[in-house]
Amino acid sequence: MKAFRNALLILCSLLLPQALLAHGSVTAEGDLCIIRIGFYTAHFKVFQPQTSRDREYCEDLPATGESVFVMDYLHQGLAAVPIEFRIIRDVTGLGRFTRLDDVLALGDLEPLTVFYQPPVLEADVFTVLHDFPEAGDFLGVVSVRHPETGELYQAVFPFSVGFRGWGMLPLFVLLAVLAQVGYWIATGGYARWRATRKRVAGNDKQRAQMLMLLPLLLLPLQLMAATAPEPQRWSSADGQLLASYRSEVTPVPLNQIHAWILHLENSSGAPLENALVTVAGGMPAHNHGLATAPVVTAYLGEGDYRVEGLRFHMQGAWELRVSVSHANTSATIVIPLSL
Amino acid sequence: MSRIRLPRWAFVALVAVVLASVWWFRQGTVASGPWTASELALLRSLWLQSLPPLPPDPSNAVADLAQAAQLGHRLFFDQRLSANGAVACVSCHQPALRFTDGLATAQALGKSARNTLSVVGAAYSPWFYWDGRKDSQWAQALSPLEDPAEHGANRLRLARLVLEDAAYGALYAQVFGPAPDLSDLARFPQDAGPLPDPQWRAAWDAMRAEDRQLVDQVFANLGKALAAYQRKLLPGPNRFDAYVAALEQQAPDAERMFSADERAGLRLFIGKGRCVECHNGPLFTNNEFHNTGVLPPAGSVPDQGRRRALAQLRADPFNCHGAFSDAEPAQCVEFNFMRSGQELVGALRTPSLRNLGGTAPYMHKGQLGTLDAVLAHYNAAPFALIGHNEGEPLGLGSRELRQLEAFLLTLDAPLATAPEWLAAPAAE
Repeated sequence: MKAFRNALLILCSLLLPQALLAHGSVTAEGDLCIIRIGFYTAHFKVFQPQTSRDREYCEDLPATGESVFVMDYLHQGLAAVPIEFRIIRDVTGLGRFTRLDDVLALGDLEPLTVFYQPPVLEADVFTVLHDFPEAGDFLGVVSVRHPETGELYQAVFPFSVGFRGWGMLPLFVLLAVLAQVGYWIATGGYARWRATRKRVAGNDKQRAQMLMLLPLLLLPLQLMAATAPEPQRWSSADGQLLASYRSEVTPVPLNQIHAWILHLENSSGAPLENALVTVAGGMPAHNHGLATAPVVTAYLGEGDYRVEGLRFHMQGAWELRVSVSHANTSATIVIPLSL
Repeated sequence: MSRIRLPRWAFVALVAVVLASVWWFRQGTVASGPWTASELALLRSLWLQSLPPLPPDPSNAVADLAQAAQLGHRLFFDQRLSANGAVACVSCHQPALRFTDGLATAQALGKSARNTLSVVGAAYSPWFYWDGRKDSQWAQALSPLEDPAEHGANRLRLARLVLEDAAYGALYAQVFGPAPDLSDLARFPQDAGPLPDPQWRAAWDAMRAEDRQLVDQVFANLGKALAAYQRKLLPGPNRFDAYVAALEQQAPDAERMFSADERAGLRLFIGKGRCVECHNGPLFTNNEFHNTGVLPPAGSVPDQGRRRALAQLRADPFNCHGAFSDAEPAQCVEFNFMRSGQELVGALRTPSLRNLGGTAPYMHKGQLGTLDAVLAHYNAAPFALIGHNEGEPLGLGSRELRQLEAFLLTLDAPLATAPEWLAAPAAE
């Protein structure tokens, strides 16, 4: 059995470097594929929405046909540089080992080009679409020119299209699973599992009774949540600052832009004068922000600040985060509200 | 007779089955139980009677002027406002189809990039188009007139057409005051506009800045008249509204107004289905921008949506801060406090559900032909090709999807608008 396990380890180690191998300038990092164009980086993904919907690829594409190449910027500098995108037939014979130098050595890329997107500025994400009529090996070449230094940065990523087979991979996976199961049985794993099952079975009845009691235990908590009065003032984490608000439209409306008067005071009740106040907010449960970018437009005196441009576009639990800077101190107060 | 001894595991399994049945049964009774106070409050918030009066449009001084609406009504139906004399606003915004066209993407002189949105109730929205690249109804009305895929006209030709038409000219003067004299062909060529067409563009660039301003003003005024007309197009009460009205009056026959499926669908709509998160308020829309991961149709890259529209909106000479807006800068609240950022990548505006009946196919490029497909899409919540899908898988069963659809079908209703506004205006 040991010999078999060793053989498997060797097989796996043969697989390993291939799995970690970069496709030119595209590397797999965790769940993401990252493309590096000089010092610029982007999350790189390819979709074939007509055949595999929202399935994400980062190297070889299973089918011919429409393929959408997406670069989601990780380096925001990409938003300021025109991006050029070219796909050429891979005539280097180097496959996934192709490097930028190999592409540069090809000279004029025009005759090899199957797709060309002239340099274009895109704000957050770059997308192009190419319809591959037939299977084959290709090279993607992404070029950006630094706006100030004029230096050209390029990235190359080899990929194949119409790659349907999985090669030897399923066989290896099957072998690995079989070997593991065999090893487990042979070392007495099944017998041990049977033994544990017998011991545990005796406790099942008590557990079921415990589970039935659980809702009863939770009941007081629910009652507390329902009866807890809503506080009218909210404090910063250190308790030094207190905030309250008055909406100019009451109750706080849905889908209507409106203003608030925000009142700030310190823990002894003295109004906080002329602080630098910014507001942001969102729905924590939905993980999204406000529909607008509200601004504190005026200090009204007596610790009152006018916040304009608030709009809540969903019903449910919101929070408004008030950041206050005043006399070398700063604090954030979170105001929860429910619509 | 020998006694059957149950093994312990079978006993545990039996208890589990009993508990599961009790839970399932309770689920059933909850679904068909009476509406709770918070559910009723939610239903009331969706009710047409909760719709506030039409909000004013400070950027359009004639928005609520009767003659402006009359002028707009005629312009809306006038095919002369196009390069080939065969395209009017009404070509794609057809009254019989709740002011849409029944196509995946609009088709006029050419094929448009996106699905035609209904204009019914649009006056309540701070933003126009799927990506909100216009911030007023009048500025929106201008774009199709010059779009080569739509009316394909140019602003100087349109301005002259309206000012030289006897009936239009009189109405125009009533609404906007004296019109500029465009008769000097040396100053005002036949065709000119800041458009992709190189000849029209060159003619426009050759004009004096003041003359261009005069033409732009007439052009903007056409939009303002069209907006005044479209403000009249408002949704009428549907079966859902009648049901809520009956619930509000505690009418004894209230529950007979909705079938069991429609009622269950409504409960899903405001609950497990999470539809009401975006389709909220009396118009069933928050008019906000959301990425919902709808796949692009064949031949197109994913729609960048709102993210790309922001720059267009800021640069638009017809925006709320522009020279042709009647608003004080401080009145442009939505424009002044609009957000930007990555959340808006691939985000498109929530459409109202009050016009569902005639508005298939659905989504921003008409990708989904049926309500069935739309519900299946939200239930699955696929990954977005760009940005992030704000939706999450809903885990609705096929019966629940059917119930949701049954409810959605109660939302369509004829407009609340007087019939004379829904047909071509009578000739003078």
